[in-house]
Amino acid sequence: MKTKQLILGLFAAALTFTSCTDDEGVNFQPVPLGAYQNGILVVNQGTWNQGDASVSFVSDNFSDSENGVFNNVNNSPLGDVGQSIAFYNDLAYIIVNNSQKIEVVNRYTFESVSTINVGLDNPRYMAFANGKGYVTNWGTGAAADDDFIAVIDLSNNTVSSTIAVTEGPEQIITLNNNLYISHKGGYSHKNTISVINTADNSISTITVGDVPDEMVLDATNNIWVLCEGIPAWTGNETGAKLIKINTSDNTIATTLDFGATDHPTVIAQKSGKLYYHLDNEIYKMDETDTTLPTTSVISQALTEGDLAIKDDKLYGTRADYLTGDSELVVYDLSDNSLIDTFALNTGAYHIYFN
Amino acid sequence: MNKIFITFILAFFACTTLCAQQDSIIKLETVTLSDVRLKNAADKTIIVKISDSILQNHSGSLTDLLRQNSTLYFKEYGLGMLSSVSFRGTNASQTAVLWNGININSQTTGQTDFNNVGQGGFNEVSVKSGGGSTLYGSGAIGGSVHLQHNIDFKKKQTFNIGSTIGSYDNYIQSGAFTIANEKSYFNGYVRHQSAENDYPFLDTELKNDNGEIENFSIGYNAAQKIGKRDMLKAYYSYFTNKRNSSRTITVPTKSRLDDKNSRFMLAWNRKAAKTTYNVRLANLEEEFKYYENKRKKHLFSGTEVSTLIANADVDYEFSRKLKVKGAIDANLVEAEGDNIDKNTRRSIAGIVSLNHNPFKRFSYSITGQKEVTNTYKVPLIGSLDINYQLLKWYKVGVNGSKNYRIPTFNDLYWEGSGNSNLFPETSYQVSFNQFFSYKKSSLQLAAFYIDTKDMIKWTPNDSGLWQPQNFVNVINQGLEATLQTVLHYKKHRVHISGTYVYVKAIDQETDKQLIYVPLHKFNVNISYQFKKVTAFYENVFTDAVFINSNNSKNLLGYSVSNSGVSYTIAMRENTFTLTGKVNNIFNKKYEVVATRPMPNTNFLISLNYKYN
Repeated sequence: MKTKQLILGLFAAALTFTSCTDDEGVNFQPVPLGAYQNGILVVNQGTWNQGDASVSFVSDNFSDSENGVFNNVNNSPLGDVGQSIAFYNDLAYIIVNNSQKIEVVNRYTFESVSTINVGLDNPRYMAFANGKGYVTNWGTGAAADDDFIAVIDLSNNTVSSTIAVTEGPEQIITLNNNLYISHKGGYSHKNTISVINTADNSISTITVGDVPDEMVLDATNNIWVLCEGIPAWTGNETGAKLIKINTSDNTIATTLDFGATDHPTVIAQKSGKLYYHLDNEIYKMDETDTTLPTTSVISQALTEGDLAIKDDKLYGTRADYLTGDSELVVYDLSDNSLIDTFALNTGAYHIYFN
Repeated sequence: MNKIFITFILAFFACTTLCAQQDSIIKLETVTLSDVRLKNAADKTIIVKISDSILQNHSGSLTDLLRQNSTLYFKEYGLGMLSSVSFRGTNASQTAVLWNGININSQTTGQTDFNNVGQGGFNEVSVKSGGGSTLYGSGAIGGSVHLQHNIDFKKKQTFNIGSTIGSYDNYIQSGAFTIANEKSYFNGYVRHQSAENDYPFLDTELKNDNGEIENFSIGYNAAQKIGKRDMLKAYYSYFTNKRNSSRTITVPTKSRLDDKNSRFMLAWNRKAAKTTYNVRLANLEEEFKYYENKRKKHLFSGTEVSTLIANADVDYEFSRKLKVKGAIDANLVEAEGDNIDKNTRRSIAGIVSLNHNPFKRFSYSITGQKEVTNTYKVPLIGSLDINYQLLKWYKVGVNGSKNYRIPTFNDLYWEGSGNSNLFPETSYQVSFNQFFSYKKSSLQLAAFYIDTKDMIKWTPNDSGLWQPQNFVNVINQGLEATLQTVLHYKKHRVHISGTYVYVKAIDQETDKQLIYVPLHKFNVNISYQFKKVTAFYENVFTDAVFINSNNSKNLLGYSVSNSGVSYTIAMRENTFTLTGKVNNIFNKKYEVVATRPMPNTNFLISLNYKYN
């Protein structure tokens, strides 16, 4: 969710006494605790300041599902605003943004291993390189000069050092021990990708479109960056761009422009195809295409939070922040039909395959 | 250390007024009410009055005072933090809060934060239920809260100084003096509070980190009679409030909110044979700054609002049985902030009311109000109130009214998402009231029904942007009861007061109860006085509340009790009072707002010295 919207949402909630819901465990059979492999994990943001972030699990065969996995296993609340999960060997690192912490759990049993709650400030996403963890941090949202990457010593799960970066580091992915970090901008709107060479922590910068957020590696190990564009409410609206970075020399290989008022937010890649979501439609294109598709493959798609693809199935999340209802929806990519939906906890967001 | 020292020095000389005076509700006729419209209010809706003696003895917040003494429910985000009111199940912007008759609800949020009101400057607090508050314009849907300094032209010189020390480094110092005679009146006051507020969260290893508060209040209330007919009055209040934002169970915080409010009013009053004139000019300044990180003082977002108010009331008495009022209210509001462009709202309202007492036991009143603004259309509103004294000890009344609540500056102009097409919320309501009184006991009962349409709510639009819209329809139904009684036996005296409210506030689209509106709320205050010693006990029970709009999650109800003893020594003009109080005596674990625990058992010791 966009930060400004999150703040406005909070503001609106305070004004109108609105809140969100949690249908925990209503339609589900409990699964044996500890069996969270071979399934889909979803991190649910919850409602700002309500302390109801959570993780949901759905088994690969769709026969089992469970909401509130972390809470159920560890008998304690996950925290406030579940942002993302990163995986390293047998561990899952759950980044809980507003609680300023990372919960480290066994990715298959979800039993707590450690909590990293010192040295983080508005943590967002995490990646691994050179045997270390790297976490993007906004610092104080309104401050442009205190953003950093926290370097995690994985032997004891503590923050061992930091790398200062420009404002609003968001998503982070690793390629050949280089870190690619999209500077969405935090509370403002930025337009760069930082590339950190983890051998010497040197940083280079690639200027892309406005508000770069999601990045995907394609079949040839190049990176596609979805730049969302600046939203209309600012009065300085710009359209989105889909940009391909040639990772051999970190230059821009392709720029595809969306319409001036188009703001797609999520992208997924599979087998040489890219899928993105725009205004409730899902579009598909080849990595080699030089123009954006004009017709969608799935219309009226019930998803907006995230897109993920596995075994010819497309997964999406949808969260209604007014009612608190959230869903995981599954489409069959062979005929683009809706296969299944699962009710999740409030604020369903990123999807991971475990 | 310095504060502790000052506190002890003050404590040594100081003293609090007696709890036993809690029943001094009967007021002297020489008193001049600051809120001319409350005094002349045509209707007779349910009123709870909290007298000066209770106020002087009260060492908590305005939230605590009203929670303990009225039917109001407060959504308090941890002790001392934001506190928004729900009156008869309505939302916080549907209660009008009046300072000496002037509406002080924030122009940016539409509501009053009851932990952000300077204390020390008022000697009476009245709570008036229902939409009979038509005279007060916007916001008086659930009812109105009146903070007043009533002026008493009686020769006196009083001086008092008080000091309170409480758990978690809570220090309060206050001082006031009043000099008055038959023609002049001057009251000056000052109050300072600072508290570390780091109480432990029961059953956890956490404490209320970043909960520090510090506030300072200073002001005066003055009046001068000129000749036989004229009187000039001036009121001034300045208040600063610096609050860090408490952590929650799951969220560590480092943010802070600074508020600054100043209010000034000049009033002229002229009494002719049958006509009374009241003219009031007021200036209100509100300013807040929100620091996301209290250590980064250069990074804040804030808003400043300046309000100019001019009111003129003319009351004409055709006879003792028939009185009419005509009034004009003009307002100029200018707001500017980091998230709000500079905007101005001008409004002018005309009010007429008639109060008729055609038969000995029967009276009725009619009020109409029409406001015109430069921003949106405001409906014509009005109220009708009928009262019949059936028996010497029993009176019945019916009250019906139409009211409205205007959109706030945030609703209209918030950067990128404000909606300038908003219009006022309107409500229709009816209340059936019964009043029983016998000697020193009274019981007031009300059954009410409020239908509010076009309520403003922030919702995500098609592209996910949160924007306010007029679309919610809520019906509130409920019952209210207020009881007061005093029992005497020789030198023993027992005072009992209590309130109870039951309210269903149902969103008509979803058929669900509004969040943070308890079905039941009950409170009781009992004090027992024997000679110089007074013991008191107070309890508030609040039912469970829903915390999400589809009513699948709730927050447990709670019953919290406080108790204490005070001892008074009087030597000629000097009175010393020592009071000890224990809050939450049963160490109850409770949250008023989810994930924000309230304090465990805690202690207060007050010393007060009064000269008169």
